[in-house]
Amino acid sequence: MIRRIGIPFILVLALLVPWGARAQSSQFGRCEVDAELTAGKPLPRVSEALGAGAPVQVVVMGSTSSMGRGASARAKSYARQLEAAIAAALPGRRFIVADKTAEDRTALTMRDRIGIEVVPLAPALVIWEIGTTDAIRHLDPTDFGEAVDEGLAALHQAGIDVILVAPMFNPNAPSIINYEPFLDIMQQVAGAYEVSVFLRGAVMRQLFEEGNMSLVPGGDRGSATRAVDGLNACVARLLATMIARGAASN
Amino acid sequence: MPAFRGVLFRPSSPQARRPILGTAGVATKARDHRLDLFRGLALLFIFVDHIPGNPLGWITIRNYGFSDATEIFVFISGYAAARAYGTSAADDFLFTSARILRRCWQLYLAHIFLFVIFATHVASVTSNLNNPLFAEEMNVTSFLHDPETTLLQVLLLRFRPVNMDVLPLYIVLLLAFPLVLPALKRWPWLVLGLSVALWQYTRTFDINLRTYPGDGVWFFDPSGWQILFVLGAVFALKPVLTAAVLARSRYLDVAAALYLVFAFYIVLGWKFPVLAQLVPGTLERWMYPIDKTALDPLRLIHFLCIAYVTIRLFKPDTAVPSYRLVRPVVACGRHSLEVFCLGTILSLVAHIVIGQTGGRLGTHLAVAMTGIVVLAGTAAVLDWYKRREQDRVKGRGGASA
Repeated sequence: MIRRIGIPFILVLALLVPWGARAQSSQFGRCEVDAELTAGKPLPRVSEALGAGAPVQVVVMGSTSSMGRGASARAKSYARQLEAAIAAALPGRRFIVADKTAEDRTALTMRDRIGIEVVPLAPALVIWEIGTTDAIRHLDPTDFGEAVDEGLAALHQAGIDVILVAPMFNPNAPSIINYEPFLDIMQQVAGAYEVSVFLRGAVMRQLFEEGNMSLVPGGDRGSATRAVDGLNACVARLLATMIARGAASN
Repeated sequence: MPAFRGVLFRPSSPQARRPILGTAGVATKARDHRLDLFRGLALLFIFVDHIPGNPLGWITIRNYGFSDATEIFVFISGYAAARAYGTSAADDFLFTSARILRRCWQLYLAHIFLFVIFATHVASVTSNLNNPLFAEEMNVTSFLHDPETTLLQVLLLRFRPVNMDVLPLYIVLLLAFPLVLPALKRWPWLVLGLSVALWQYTRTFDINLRTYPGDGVWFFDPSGWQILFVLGAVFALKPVLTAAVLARSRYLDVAAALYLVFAFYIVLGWKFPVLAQLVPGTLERWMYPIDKTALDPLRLIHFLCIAYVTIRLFKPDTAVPSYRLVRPVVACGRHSLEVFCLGTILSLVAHIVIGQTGGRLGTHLAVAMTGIVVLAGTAAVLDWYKRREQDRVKGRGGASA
């Protein structure tokens, strides 16, 4: 039966040959996205801690994509730039951000580490990045959802506010990795716990589409690194905006 | 479009209405064009859903309830398989089994062929992915560097590219069908009971087939999804069941409508959190996550409601499949394997085009619409070819050459 549709198949194969990469350098422009992408749910614990005047402890939990890969240094990851970004968004308030990201961590691994790495620090807020590692490893989206469910239940019980961070958006990857089922489940479970999801993919998609970010494959390394630094600073800034809005909406 | 006019927009002549034989070639009974219509629709939905971020995705049913096009496809496949292999009295067990296995072999070849296309595609976009920002995603392309293991895993259906999960499911379900079919014909209710038990066992104990590399699992767990295939087959073999369901339409109309509205509201709440605030947290915690891998009952019930509403709205002799604009969709359903394969390939092409051009709304729409036209056009060409081939055989007066 395949032989019968040979001609369209050949036409399609010809289209599979990629166009030549344009010789440009990568760049990052302005960090501008729709306001709804930083509209978060209320963060009662953060408001409470701010009201008490004490420094607010924040923990970032995440996998490889939160560690600043492609940036000029680990210090340029969004996790490590978050403290400064919050200070800029909420001047005069003291926040301490602990970076608990580590390579190749699935939602299940991180769920198990909440009791060890997160709860002892007694944070007011946890930024939890999930989904990328699970999708890449073709893990069961339902098992992923259950791990997130249990993780959120544990954080909820410990009286900790949470913002989930969704996978990145790579314009060349939709045919290779399917994030959608993981994203759907993240939003379902987050909704059940009244937790916000920071849609990192939607943010990046808008940056790419509006020409504020470009990554040229095989292009100049220095410009690519600077673009990634710019993206991470932008993610940190938008997260800080979401935190400030969430803390204010009580 | 004008190029296809003669085929796609043929005026309704008696000749055009003549039933066209199925791929299984069962000439003894009229083909139910509703099956082709909804299978074709499911295939087009699957194609559109495989282009993430596409505004055309709003027309597909996954945005209006728990179930999606996969459920339709698997159920109709079960129904069609039972009709094609289960209703001919002349065929004995051995020959029926051989016919089913021959179909399995075709599906298997198609899957391997799709893998080759996928590997070509990945090899060609790898350089575009090559940015350290996406270092983790690059792991997905590691199979290119280990061909001797990968190729064996592909042949064993254990290596699973994105969006190529439906064919392996179909292959496994059909592979078991030579044994399931005779049992279904003799003891349909017993087999249905066993099928429900296996589905529930799968959901309780989380059994699934493994994928390569690592600790991944089949996206559609065959021991869970078989329930839909078996249900389809039971409805095909026992028309009395459909009649019994329709006889209770007074209550079922209300129940199905209520459930569909409930599902619609919940799903809408995923996009508009304002609506979700009215859903009690206990209900949300009980529902979520909705299991696609082993087929959540919420999804199965949603599909059954859709199927019920469909048979209420479209009688077997409905004229809808012969409408001009609907006929290309019916043609897609008639050539499901070819359209499915081509759709998978076209979605790869769509990803490249969108990735290279920045993916603005207009590009997305244009790419998806072009894909649909190409799929419908291909199905029309296949229809034309099949008709000509049959005319040729008839012209010879059935004499073998």
